[in-house]
Amino acid sequence: MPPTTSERGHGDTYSLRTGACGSSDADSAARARPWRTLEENDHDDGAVVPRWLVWLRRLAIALLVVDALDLTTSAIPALIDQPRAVPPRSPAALLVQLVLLLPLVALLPSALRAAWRRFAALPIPVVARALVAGFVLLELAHVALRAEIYPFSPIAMFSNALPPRRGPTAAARALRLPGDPEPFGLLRAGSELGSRGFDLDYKAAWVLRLYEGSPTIDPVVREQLGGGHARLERFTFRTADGRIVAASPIR
Amino acid sequence: MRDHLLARLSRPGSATHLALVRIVFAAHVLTVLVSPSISVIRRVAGQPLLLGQTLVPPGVERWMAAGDHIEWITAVGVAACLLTLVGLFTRVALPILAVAFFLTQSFYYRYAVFHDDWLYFNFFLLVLCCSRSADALSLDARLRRRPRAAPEQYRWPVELMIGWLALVYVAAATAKLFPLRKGLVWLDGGALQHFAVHFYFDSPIYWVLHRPLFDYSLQWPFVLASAATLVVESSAALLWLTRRFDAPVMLAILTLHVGIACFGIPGFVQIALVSSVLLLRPRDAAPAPAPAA
Repeated sequence: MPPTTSERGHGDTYSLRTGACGSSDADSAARARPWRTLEENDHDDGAVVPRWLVWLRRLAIALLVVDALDLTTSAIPALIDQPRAVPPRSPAALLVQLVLLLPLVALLPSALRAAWRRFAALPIPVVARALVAGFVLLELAHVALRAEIYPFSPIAMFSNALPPRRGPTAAARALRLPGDPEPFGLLRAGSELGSRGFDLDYKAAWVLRLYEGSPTIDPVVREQLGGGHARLERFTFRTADGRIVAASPIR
Repeated sequence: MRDHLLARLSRPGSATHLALVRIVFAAHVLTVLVSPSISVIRRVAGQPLLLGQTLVPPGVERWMAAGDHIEWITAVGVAACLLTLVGLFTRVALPILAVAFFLTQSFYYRYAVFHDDWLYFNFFLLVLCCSRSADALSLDARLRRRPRAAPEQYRWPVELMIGWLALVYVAAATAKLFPLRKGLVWLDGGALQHFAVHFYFDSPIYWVLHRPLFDYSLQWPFVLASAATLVVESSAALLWLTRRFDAPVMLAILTLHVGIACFGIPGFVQIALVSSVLLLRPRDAAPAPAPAA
């Protein structure tokens, strides 16, 4: 009778110095043990598969997955694609991509069976396994579809397709504090390094920045910085040396 | 010897390492819960921004926004976090902490549409809830003298969290690169150029130099930065395949976040630093249970 998973690994350690995970004598133990791992069983068809063929198969599967991801990520229109027109997909390309899905679909049953066997053999309690697997699968679905429903996200920050900026100047919003000629970024307020007496962290500073167009932030900013009314302005600066060439109030 | 994630899940781990992860994560979550962001939201925002959706039912959202319910949830979360930190009543405290964190971060997300701690710690807390993270370095372990579990029980939670950490970065790379037609456009650096300009007055570069780091109208530095970002984020997939490259991968991720912080968005550096505790390799894997006499 094969040993349980808890019986298997007692000789193993993982070392801080070598960085090698698992036991130093794991290979000899693997040779000596009377049972077989699931991975060994997976390849137990009696034939020796050349290494290059294994890698070729992996590469092909990776390319098919890329194809599938390309299709799923464009299935739902996303805000991050809107600022800039991306070249449309031709009907012929779409057809080829859909045809390329077929081998992946054909591989799916055996892949799912193998995944299920491995999943069932994990030394994780059943309830924990179900919870964690459910969470991960939902996250993967959100990544594949680029959908965001908290707590699942495709992590699409800074992924917008935006056209490159041209020209020697650019503009950004910032506060102008009373008596201070310099623009004052609110995220600077939330930093330990540049806080100028703000008692807020970066998360709170982010909220202020997000709502900086609203007069509701005025009492908070005044309370934190003292003095009079901080004005939100749009500063145009030279991108080469940062010199401010224009400023106009936003509110 | 196979070193991929599935194989690692079944290897023996260290109760002390898992306990250290619990303590470090609880300390970080405490800083998130006591952040003044919720009270600032209460003062400046009349209603949630409608850009994000949440799994939290609308009725619960309305209840949280009414009265001082969100403050009470935060207070309960802080108490549960302190208990988790010292490891007292951990099996009860951790699920309460996870629920409080889930709800407060949903509230924060709905008003601030900011992606930071919740991307990582909702999953980390879920895994900690399911694991025996209080078998060492805890008051529970001292007071109750619960017998240690099989050593694998201390390894899979850590490996699952490492897997999630990698998933966050690989997903970020996927969102940038896919669909491929958009990814090729993204690689021309326009997005990062806009980011650098948009947060210019918020950036430590501006506070220190009073000028851009380089001419922000040039495109090639942003093309390089875009490519480097994709490489760094994709390299996190190595954590699924092997633990051999932990140090360079984590160093690259930290460098990426330091770079982002220099250009104006702080927050991720500390998350990456805190998450690094997962990659420690304790020499003392948990001892095997004593053989029966």
